[in-house]
Amino acid sequence: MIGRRFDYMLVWGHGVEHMEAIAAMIREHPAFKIVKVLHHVPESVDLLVHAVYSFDYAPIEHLKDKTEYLRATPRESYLVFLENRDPDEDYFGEGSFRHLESRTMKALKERIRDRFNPYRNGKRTDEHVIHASDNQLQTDHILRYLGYPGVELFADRNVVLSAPYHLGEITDYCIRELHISALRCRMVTGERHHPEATVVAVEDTPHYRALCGDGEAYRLYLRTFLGTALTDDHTLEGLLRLAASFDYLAPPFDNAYVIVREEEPGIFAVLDGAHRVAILKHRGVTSLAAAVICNKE
Amino acid sequence: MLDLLTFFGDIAGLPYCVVKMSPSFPQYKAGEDIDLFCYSVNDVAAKVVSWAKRYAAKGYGIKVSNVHKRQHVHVDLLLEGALNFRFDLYEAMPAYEKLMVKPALFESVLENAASAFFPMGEVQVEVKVPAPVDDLLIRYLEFAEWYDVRPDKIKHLDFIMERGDAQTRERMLQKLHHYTKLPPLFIPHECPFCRFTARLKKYLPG
Repeated sequence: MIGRRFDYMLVWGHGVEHMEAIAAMIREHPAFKIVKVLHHVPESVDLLVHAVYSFDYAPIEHLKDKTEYLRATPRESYLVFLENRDPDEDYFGEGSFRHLESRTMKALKERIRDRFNPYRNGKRTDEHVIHASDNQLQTDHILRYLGYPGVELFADRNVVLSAPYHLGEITDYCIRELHISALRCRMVTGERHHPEATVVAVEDTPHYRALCGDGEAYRLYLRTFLGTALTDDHTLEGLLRLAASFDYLAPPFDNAYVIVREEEPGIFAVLDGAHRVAILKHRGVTSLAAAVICNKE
Repeated sequence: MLDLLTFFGDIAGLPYCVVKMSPSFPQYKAGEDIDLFCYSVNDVAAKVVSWAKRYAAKGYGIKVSNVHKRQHVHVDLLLEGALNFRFDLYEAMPAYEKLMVKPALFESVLENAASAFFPMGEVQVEVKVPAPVDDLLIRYLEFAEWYDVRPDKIKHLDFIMERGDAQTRERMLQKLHHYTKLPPLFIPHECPFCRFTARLKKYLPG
């Protein structure tokens, strides 16, 4: 039995309209943590189906009938990558189709299908709105198909520092006390498929505005860019919940420093921790201990 | 001045071993370091950073450097931009070039670590140090590796000759011979044909 693994769920075109509700069901499950969300528009649905099912336990010819319905679905999808903290693996199927699968993932997958699959004559069809991985190898395969270095993408590369995977390896950093007024947050503006990066003061972020009561601006920000420029999983409810109970660097988060890099003398870009900085600013905190990356490009 | 004994009080439950301890410990001079072997550099480094935070308000900076694949990490305490003290953390034997060292020596040192006690007010703080044989062995490795470029490393040879008794030195040599080997000597290939062609090249144009 393994302690944790990385899985993924693929929301097919006809399930995209339910993406928010599907993500909410995943978040409610204690075993799963969403680590990355990607909006993917394949060259063709056939190509994506082939990529997804080429690593299946069943031969793709067997799955032709099962996947025929996908040809009529819209040519877009979401890929939700999950840390599965309770895989509870077991064998399912018979004969040559017998395979190892996560019971936790299987149960969640079925609940989502029960809720969102099309129904006919009162019966749930097999026109599944989602596909889920059976094992971590399939997650690795689909990440490579999308151009990422497999599940190694999510490997923890850093010493002490609790840094998100997308910052990669941080070889040198210093812990320093910084004024919040010296921090700048990287935001996204523009359109969903033509985002532009910008750098703003903490008080100008949608995160801070949400804490001041303008939650809709933050919701709109997430909805606009989720899966494109924003691939982390955030919600307004999550931000407000964090703000209610947040205690910066209190155990067990004593090494979860806000991570910054000095962009120009005395001005620091926040690479990780914009939400936490917004909360501290909203509380009237004027300075915080942050991890300043010394020499990572 | 950092109170190093409070740090060792904080890591009382962790497996570690301070190697090549300075005779002046827990006192130190600015720029000095302490070498620790441990099973988890990440755990010990996290403890160092947590402990060091109390000094941040006194003007100390903390710098963490991943020297080699998270198996060798420096945690530096800086004062006014200069190195004040370094925790040199190892999760495996340092890479020696003058001798080939079996990796298992690392676990042997950790598992056989002894306790040394240092007074801190009314209490005695335990600091784990190598067993006498391992202490001499590691100092010998350090001397052998660096004696030709770092004259100060003679201090380790002095330590071996002055502190170790004959029996401990004998056991140290036995353990040294078990865990180390001289690296193979590279002799450039020089057969008569190669010598001939080397001479011929002198007379060829270009």
